[in-house]
Amino acid sequence: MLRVLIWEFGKLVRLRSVQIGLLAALVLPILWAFAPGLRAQYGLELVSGWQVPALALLTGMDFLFPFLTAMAAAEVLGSEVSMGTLKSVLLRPSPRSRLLGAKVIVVLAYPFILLMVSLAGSLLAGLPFGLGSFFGGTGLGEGSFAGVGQLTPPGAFMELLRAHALAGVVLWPLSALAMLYAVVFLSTTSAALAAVSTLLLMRLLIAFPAIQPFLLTSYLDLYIRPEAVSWGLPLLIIYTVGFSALALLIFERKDI
Amino acid sequence: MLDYWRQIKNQRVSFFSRFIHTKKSAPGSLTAPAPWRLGLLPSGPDPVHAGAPRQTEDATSRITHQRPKARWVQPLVKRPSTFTAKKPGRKKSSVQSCQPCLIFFVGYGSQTIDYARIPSVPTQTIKLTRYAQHTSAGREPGPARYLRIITPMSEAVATSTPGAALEAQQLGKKYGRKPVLENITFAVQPGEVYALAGPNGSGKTTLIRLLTGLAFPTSGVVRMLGQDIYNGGYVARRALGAVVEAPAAFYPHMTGRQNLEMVAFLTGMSNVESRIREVLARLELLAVADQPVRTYSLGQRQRLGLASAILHEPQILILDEPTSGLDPQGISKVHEILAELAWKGVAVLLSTHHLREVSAYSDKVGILGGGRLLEEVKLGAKGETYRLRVDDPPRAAAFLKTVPGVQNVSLRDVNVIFEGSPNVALAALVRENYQVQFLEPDYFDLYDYYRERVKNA
Repeated sequence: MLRVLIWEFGKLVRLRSVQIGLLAALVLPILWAFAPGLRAQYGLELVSGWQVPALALLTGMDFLFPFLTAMAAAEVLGSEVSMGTLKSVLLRPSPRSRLLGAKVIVVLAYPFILLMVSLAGSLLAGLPFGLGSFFGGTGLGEGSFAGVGQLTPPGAFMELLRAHALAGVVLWPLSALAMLYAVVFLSTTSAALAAVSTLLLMRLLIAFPAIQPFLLTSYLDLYIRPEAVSWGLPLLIIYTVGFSALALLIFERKDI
Repeated sequence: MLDYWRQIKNQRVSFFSRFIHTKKSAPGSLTAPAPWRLGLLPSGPDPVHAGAPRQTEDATSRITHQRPKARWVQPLVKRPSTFTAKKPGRKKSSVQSCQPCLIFFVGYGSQTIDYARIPSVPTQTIKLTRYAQHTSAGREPGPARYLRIITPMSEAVATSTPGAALEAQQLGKKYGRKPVLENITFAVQPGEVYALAGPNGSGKTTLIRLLTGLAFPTSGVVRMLGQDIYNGGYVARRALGAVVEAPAAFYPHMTGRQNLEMVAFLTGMSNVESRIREVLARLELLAVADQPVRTYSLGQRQRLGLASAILHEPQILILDEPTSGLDPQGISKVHEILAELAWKGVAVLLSTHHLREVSAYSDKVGILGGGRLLEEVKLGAKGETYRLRVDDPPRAAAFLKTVPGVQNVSLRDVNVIFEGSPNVALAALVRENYQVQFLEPDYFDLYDYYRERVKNA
């Protein structure tokens, strides 16, 4: 299984959507950190380089990161279908579940790779602002950008790491959903569009208060709402496991 | 509802046999086709509950029951060709085509039970529903509500071909309601080359996808070395080498050698270096083995496909148009390799349009048309055949059938075809005052035969 996983990761980094996504995740924080309209947009004056990752995360999680995640998850399977290599692989005496299981693991790891690249880009962009201790907040911890006093570099880094890890988990169900659609449609475009459409539809459904707690879109900002973690995190994991299990189940008897 | 399920489930042998009888047709109702009446089981132990395997027989096939699993089926009255399977306490699942099986009918709102054997043709599932409606209509108003499928095809199929490396039985595939393949049955023995021919859209590629387990049939079963490839798990594919696309697909950024190494890993091979070198040399690819596949020509990719298929020395080889995109030298190379593999005992199945070339070493040619196996031509089995032209071919053919020493007389256009002694045939015809215009050996031209067969299909 390990060899299959390494193989799948090798294929992942060769996907065009992944390469574009990682580039965007790296460049976006640099653009944001030096954007002239930043003050007008957020009313924020950056006092430390530790505040740049929050800007990148807040703007990225709004649409870009979910979209890139869905695209990559869809392409992981869709590219194999379009190249014809999926058939070659499935002809071997290897269980279908092992192949798709490896793909699911890779797809679930991708949001973290994306966010880590974004964090690295943010810290790089934050260097001119300094990465020492400062009075204020990272924007992703207690007190948001105002903070609750002096923040040391390790404290700031841990806050950022925690928020990015949570954001990665938030993107899991979307990855799993895109993979499920990819199994159903066997097409990158259709699967990515279906996943994004589902996301947009769920945003509209927020208008119904009764179902709001069960919607994925209610937890896209979980990384800045620690109070919602106890309910939101298990729900996101249940969605992820559900979508992944369904994808595996369908793939087992899917005509290729 | 649950009580009703339990009630039906608890039916016992004596109960079944008590109610077995032939029904009278209600006026205006649909009548069950004759084979079904023939298929009515004799009274005896209920195969569901009988512990030991038993055999039952009908007019068309022999079926062995090995403690069959039961399923419940509810016919949808408005769409009689569709069934909805339902196990108590489980989600519904669609059974678009009924496989050969035993069926119990349970009449609507009554305890009336009847059962019949369903022939294997998927289209007869429609008749099944009608029969169910008829069965209950004879008793009480309203359609029959529940059918119990006792023996799915995978467990009780007509006798399989002994020793076959690859066999397809009653294979059918539908996309929605449209049948793409119907009732395909054939077998390939070890060492045999089976060529699939047919016009575009005849279902060759779909059949190959079904045979390799890439797609799942609506009905029927495929066995590789006796193992059901749909229910036997991935292990059944250990003996399989296949190329299902032309040209064969590989990861373009990897070299030919790396692609083969990956294939070897997925196949579970170890110490593969020498074997990879061997197949690359056999397919004349050693010079480009360490170049990325994206730089390969069409023919090189096609040959690499064959290399990956034969890498693990499979016992069954399935190839979809293996010579597509190859130059004449490459084509003859592929044919040479396939003939050699067959000689070593590999069962080879290939789809092709190059009939004259494959007829040189094929044992059988299956002609597909309109989703059906129109004919299976046994090339090796043909005897000495002659054709003659005579003034009244139909009468002459009828006469020759009565002549000792002349066999298999048939008419092809204006020619009379026969096997046996040409001297005897000629002498007999002349004796009867027929005007014989010519008599010559009838060399079998597969391509001509194929064209004629497909045209007339």
